[in-house]
Amino acid sequence: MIDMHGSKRTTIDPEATGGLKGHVPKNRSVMWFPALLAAAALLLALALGLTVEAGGGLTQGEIPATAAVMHGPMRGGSPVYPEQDLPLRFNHGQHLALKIDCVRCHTKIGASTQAADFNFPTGATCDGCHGAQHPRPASEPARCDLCHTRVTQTPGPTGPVMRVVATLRAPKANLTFDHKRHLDKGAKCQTCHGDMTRVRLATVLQLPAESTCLSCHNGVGATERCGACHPTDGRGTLVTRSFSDRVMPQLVPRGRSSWGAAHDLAFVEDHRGQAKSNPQLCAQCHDETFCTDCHAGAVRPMRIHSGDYLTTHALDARAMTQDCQACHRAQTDCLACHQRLGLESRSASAKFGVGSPLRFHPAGWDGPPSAPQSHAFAAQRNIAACASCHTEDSCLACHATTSVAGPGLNVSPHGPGFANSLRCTSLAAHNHRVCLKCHAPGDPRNECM
Amino acid sequence: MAAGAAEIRTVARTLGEGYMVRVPGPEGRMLSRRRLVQYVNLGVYDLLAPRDADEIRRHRDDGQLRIVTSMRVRHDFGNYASAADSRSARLVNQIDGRQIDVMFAYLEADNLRGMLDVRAGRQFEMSGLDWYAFDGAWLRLRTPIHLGIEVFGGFQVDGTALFGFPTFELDGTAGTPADRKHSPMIGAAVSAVGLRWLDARLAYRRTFSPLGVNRDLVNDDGSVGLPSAVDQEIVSLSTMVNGAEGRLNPYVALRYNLGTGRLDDTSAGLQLAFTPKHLLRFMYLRTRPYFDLDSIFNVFNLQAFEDARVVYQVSLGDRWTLAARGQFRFFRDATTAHLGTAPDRKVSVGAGGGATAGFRIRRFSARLDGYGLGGEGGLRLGGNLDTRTMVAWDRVAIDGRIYAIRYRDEVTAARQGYSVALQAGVNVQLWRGIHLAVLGEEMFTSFHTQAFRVFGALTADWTLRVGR
Repeated sequence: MIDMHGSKRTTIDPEATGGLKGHVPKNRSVMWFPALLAAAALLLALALGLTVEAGGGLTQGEIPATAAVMHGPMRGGSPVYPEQDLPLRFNHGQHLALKIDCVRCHTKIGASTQAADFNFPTGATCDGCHGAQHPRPASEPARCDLCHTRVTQTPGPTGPVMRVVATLRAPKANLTFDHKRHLDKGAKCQTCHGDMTRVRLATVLQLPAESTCLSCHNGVGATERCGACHPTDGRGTLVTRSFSDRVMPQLVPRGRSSWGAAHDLAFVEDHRGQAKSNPQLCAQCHDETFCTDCHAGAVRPMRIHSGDYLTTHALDARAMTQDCQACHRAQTDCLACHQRLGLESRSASAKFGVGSPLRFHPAGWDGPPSAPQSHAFAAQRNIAACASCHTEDSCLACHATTSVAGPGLNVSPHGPGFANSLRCTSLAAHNHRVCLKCHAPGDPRNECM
Repeated sequence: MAAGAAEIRTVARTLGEGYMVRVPGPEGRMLSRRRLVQYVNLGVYDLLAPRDADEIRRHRDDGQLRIVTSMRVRHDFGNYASAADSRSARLVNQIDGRQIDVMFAYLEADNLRGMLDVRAGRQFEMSGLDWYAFDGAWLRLRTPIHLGIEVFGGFQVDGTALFGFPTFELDGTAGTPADRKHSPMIGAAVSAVGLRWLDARLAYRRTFSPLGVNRDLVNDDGSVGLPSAVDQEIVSLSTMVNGAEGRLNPYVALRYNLGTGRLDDTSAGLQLAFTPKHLLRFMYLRTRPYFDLDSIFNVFNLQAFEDARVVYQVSLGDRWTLAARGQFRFFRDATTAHLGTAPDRKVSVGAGGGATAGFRIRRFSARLDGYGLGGEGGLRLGGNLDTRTMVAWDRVAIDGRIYAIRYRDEVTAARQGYSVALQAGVNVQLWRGIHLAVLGEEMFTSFHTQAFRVFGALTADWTLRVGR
C-alpha cells in the first residue's frame, strides 16, 4: 500500500504486517549483555580518564543537541572569549625581560571599566620604541613585517612596497568586567593573566579561566553570583546566546564551576535530579520556554524518541523508562491520541486489546475473577500505562462493589493490609468521593474498617 | 531619576511537521499527521528606569518589573481513525483540535526593596513538588539571614478551558466534570537564598477539589453533598550542596504525598567533578505514577520503580569527549490480595547502559551513541550518529543523523523488529534573529519499507529598546 500525501509517503510491507505470528521469545527480564557492555565502557573511560592529562582549553564547536533544530547554527570558539585572529609577531617575555611595565604598552588599562574597551597597544604606542611607522614618514623605511605576519611586498617605482594585508580581529569578551575596579582593589596583572614572562603572543589562553575568577568570587571576597560577570538579560537570567551575534556558541556550564549542573553527554537523560533539587540553578540560564519546548510537547527530542518511536514507545511506557508523565499527561495527551487512533477499547470484542497482533496486552491479561490476572501486576506498578488508554470506567467495571449504582464484580484492588492503613485513611480523609466510586454510601469500608 | 527605556523581546516561532501513522489493526489503515504550532512570546522588561543617570539598565539591587507572556496556537490538519466519544470529546477536541494555549503570562517584580519577589498571573512551578500551572500569585520574602519565605495561591489551570493547556494539569480525572471546575490552590515554602554552598527548599502545596463536584453525591450518613475535598496535597524537600569548591555536588529531592500517605518521588545523586575534564555521577530514583486525589488510579498503584544510574565522562583534549552510562532498574511485584495471583518473581532487574563519544573541531561536530536496555518485558539495542557541519561563514549548519534501534517486546510477540532513520537537515541564519530549520527523515522499519517525515521551524527573535 502506498499513500502519497504531499511530501509524506509511507509504504507498508505486507509481509511484515501479515506475518505477525512470530515466536514468543523467552521471558528474560534481566538483560545482562547491555550491562556488561556498559561496565566495559565505564572501565575504559575510567582508564582513559586516569591516563589523560587534564587541562584547560577552548571549545571548538558544539556537540549536536537532541533538539538542535530549534536553534540556529553556531560557529566554533568560546562563548565567553570569541575566536581571535592575531596576525602579529610579539614576545611578551622579551619585553618583560627588559623591565618594560605592562601599562607602558597597555596604556588605557588603568581607566578601563568595560570588557568592550580596546586595551591592545596601538601601533603608535609601539612606535615609541620601534620608530615611527604609524604613520610612517617618507624618510623612514617600512618595517611592517617586524610585527605583522601577513604582509605583501610588491615592486614599486622606488623599490618594494610593503603592505599589511590583515589586521587583528579581537572581538570583545562576553563578560561584564571592570579592569579599573580590580586594579584599584590591588589585583596585579598576573593575578588573572598568569605569568607572562614565558608567553610570546598573548591569545585567549592568557585570559582568565572561570576557576581563576572564582578564587576571589567565592561569596566572601567578592560576589559569587553568575550574573556579576556573565551578561544577563532583562529577566536577570544569563544570556547564554548573544543577542548581537547569533552564531556565537552557547554558554554551557562545565566542570567544577557548573555547581553541579555540568551538561555532560548524558545530561538530557539524567537532568531530572538536578532540576528537582535545585531549579534555581537551572533558572540562572534557562527561562520557561526552554523547558516547555520539550516538556509541553511541541518539539520532539530526537535522541529520546528516535526512529519508529510510535511503535517502540509501548516498551518505554510499560517499563516507565522515560517517565512519560514528565511531558505527557496519561489522561489527556496519551488517551486522546489512543482514542483518535482507535486503539482505546470500546466494545466487548476489543476489550483489553484492539484485535491486532500489536495489541498491548498478552493472553491471560484479564478475565473472570477465577482466571489468571496478569494485568494486576502491571497496574500495581505502573497504573499510568493503563490510564493512557483507559478511563476509570474500565477499572470500575470489575473493581467496584456490587452495591453501587454502577455495580462491578466486587474484586478488591487493595493490597494486603490496606484496611486501617495510613494510606487508606489518608485517601479517605482527603477525598471521600473517590471511595464512593466503588463503595456504596454507608459501607463500613469507607471508614477503612 | 535617569531616563528609562523598556526592552521589548518578541519571539515568533512556527513549527510544522508532517508524517504518517499506521493504526496497528488488521487493515493497517494510514492516518495523516500535519501539525502546525505557532508560538508568540512577548516580554516587556526593564519597566523601571535606572536610578542613576549613568546607568543604561537599572541595577539589579534596585529592583525591577517585567511582563512575560507566551502563547501558542496548535492545529493538526491530519485525519483520525475515529472521533472521540462522549466521555472525552471535549478534552480530546481541545488537544487535537484547534487550540489556543496561554502558556504563561505574568507580571514579575524582582528584588523590590532588596527583599521581595512577586509574580502575578499565569505561571507554572518547576520544582521538587512537580510541574504545575496555575493562575494566581507567588510571593517570596528574602530575609537577611539567607532564608526565603514563599507563599503562593490561585487556581489550577484547566486544560479544557479556552486558553488553558493540559500538560501541567494534575493527571487522573482530567477532562471529566471534576476537572471542569476551578480548583483553588494554596502553598508555602521556605528556602535558602544567597548561599553559594547550599540550595534548599521545603515546600507545601494543596489543591482543592471544588465543592460543586460533590454537590449531588450521597454521603455515608445519607446526607446529600460532600464537603469540599482535596485534589492534591504534597510536601517536598529538595537540596543541593556545592562542596569542595564545586568538585562535589550531592543533591536530593523528596516528595511526600499527604493524600496517599506515601513518599512518591525520590531523586538523589552525587556528582563529582574531580578535575575540569572528569565527571562522575551516581543517581538513584524511586518514583510512582501519581494522580489527583479525585482519581481511583491512586488506589491501584502499590509498587514503586527504582532506578540506579552511574555516568562517567572524560574530555580528551579539546576535541574528544567520552562518556559511559550504566543503569539498573528494579521492578517489584506482590501477590494480589483478593485473587491470590502470585507473580513469577518478586523482583525483576532490568539492566542497561551505553557509551557516547563526542567529537568537535572548528566547523564539524559529531556524537556517536550506543545503548542497550532490558527489563520489564522488553529489550532495546540501538545506536545514533548525530553530525553538524558549518558552512557559509558559519551561517548555515548541515545536520546529518542516523538512528538505529533493534527492539523486542517480550509481552507482545509481534512487536519486535528494527528501525533505521536517516535524517538530513539544514539550519540557516537568514538574518539576525531569524532562523530557518528544515529536517527530513527517511525511515526503514520492520513494518514500513519506507516512511518519510518532514519537520520545519522558522524562528524570529528580536529585541528592541523603546522609551526615552
